[in-house]
Amino acid sequence: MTDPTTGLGAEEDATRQRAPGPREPLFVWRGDLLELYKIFLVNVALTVMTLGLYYFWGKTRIRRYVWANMAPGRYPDDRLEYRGKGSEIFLAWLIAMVVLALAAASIYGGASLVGEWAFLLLFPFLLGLFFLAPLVYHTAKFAARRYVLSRTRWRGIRFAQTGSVWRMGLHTALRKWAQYLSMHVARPFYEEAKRRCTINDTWFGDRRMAYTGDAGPLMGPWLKTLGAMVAVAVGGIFLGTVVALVGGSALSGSEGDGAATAGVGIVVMAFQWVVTGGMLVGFAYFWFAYRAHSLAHAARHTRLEGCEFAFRCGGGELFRFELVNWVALVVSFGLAYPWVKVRRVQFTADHLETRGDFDPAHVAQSAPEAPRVGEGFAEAFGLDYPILGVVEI
Amino acid sequence: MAGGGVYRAYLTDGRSAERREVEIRVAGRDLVVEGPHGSQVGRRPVADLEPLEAVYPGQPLRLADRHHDDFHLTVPDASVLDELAAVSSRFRRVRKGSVSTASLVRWGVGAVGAVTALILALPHAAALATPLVPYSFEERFGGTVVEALVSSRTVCAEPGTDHPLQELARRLGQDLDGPGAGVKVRIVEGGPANAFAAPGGEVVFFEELIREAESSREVAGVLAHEMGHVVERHSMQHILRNTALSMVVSSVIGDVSAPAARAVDALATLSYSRSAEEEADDLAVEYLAARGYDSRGLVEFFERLAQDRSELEEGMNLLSTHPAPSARVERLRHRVSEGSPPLPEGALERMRTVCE
Repeated sequence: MTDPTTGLGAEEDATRQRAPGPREPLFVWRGDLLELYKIFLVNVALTVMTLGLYYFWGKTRIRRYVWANMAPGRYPDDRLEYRGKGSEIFLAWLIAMVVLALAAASIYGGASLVGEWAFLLLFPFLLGLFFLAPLVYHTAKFAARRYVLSRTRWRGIRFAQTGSVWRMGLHTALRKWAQYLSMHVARPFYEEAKRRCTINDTWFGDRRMAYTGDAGPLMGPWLKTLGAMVAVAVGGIFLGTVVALVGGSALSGSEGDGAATAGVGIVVMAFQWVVTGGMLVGFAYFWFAYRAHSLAHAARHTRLEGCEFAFRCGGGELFRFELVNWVALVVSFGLAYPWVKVRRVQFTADHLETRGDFDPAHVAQSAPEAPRVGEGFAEAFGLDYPILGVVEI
Repeated sequence: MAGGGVYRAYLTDGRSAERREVEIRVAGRDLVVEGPHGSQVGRRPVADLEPLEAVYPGQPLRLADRHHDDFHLTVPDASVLDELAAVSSRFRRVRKGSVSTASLVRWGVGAVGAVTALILALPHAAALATPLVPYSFEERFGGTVVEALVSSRTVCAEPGTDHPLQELARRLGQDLDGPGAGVKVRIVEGGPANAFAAPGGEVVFFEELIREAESSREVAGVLAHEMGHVVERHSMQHILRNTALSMVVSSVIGDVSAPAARAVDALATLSYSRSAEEEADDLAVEYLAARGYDSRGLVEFFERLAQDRSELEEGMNLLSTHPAPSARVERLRHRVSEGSPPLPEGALERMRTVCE
């Protein structure tokens, strides 16, 4: 049975009984919006003045401020540290650009060699892209996550992500291809593969996180969501067709009368917008209901030593949260970025909880090989991976 | 503050996540770290220490040692910075004051102004940079683009072959240097009733435009307009400008695929595309007049477009990349002139059947 307000099921209740100690926020936010805004605006000005070069250092400044103002809920005075440097991600960007340029030159050179028969290569090229794109995308994001974790510390102890990012990328991309080929039915397998890869290979010092979830419990809710979204699409297309037919007939009736034609045109267009908007809201409603359920599932199956986690948020709340973020960014042409960033951190702090034993005194530093430069295309191009594995910060 | 320049602090040594309460004080050029009963835990040159981040009001000072990665000190009372700054200049600008609304507004105006200035300057920069791109590269790139765009359609008239529009392009190009001299015209089946100039000097006409044209001088006007785009290398300028804009916007906002980035890009594209269209209109009239041809066809084409548009479409033109046809008619009406027919008699009829 699922709690309609939290999206949590009976499994969660069992977890709640098992976990000792009080429930606490996983982390708290201690920052100030105005301070972050000033950093952001200075970054914008310097980035423009240096024709984009300062971006890498600006990104690091923002990250350093955000990290320095996040602390575990249980230890609110001990903030996180970020030790990354702008030069590291600048170097990563340079490497990414060289690789991209070489790839583009190879494709162009190959096409030039075969001359007018180049079109024959189009299909194999697109097929290759279909298979390679998810692999490169996920590998790049795992590499970005590994870099950021390697530069994150708490009480001097490093976080880390171990394992080969290419293995993780392949593991996740295989599920992504399966998702495409199954017309999205197999999506939960993709989500869970990604979580297993990231969470199981995440370390805090010598302590390893663990993920015990699997796709089975998510399949039912996902199939219901998929069914509902298909129903919304079919309903929307049907309504849109009806509006078009009725509108078309009204337009031919008003032929010769310019004002009447314009009036009917406006009404038809307004109806089409309402139908399209309704479809989008319908998709979003069902998607976020599932998303909240899936995030709760992910948190519930994550462990760090004796600590358990919970994500408490309903689909409606998540939908409203993301909608406001999206609208704010669009209408402000991106100037609401710091506000959205703080809002996202605060939202995560408010909804992600932990309980259970964890003694920092027993955590020792581990010494995994930390990457020397920022890694991967994703890091270089600003596509961050959700560091907490649950909600993107 | 513990008093007398002694500060409470927390030390972590990197061996475990346990923190140890200590007292610190600046002695000469060193920072002395002492245990609770005065036992010395360590002594480090201040010059070796560095702050982990800027310190805002209410935030602790956190120190790391540049030579010992695991040393980490958290000092809740950041006023120790004054003593550290007296020893090492590295600590002088670490402390940040409260952010006032006025300073935020100043930086906001500066940032928005810088972004706006850059967006306004980009088209000029792109125009300056375009001649630096080898035209041979643009031709090869344009060929690939056109092949991809028309690959699913039947080509009714191959570029460079003998057809009236190719012949007109050759005549109009006789007085032009550079890209305008070698324009190739291709006609492909189907719609929309439009034409476009690809990078590299190829103009593609869709059959529907020729079918709907009411006179051959309308088609000639459109060709001359597209040749204006070719001569000015607007496609390459557009590519350079968009690439630069995407880089700037993504570096400000963080992700070029973000909706905000797309919104900025779309708005900037609107004004730039419109000025390019107006420039191509002016050049079209100039090219036709230079050869003594009738240039009224361009205005007639836009008049017909304006008539076919509903009031709603006219009102929605704010969101279009092209100026409104009615506005283009107003701009060009007094510039066009009578002259000899640009295309021979019967050419339009022949072109209408070229796809049959």
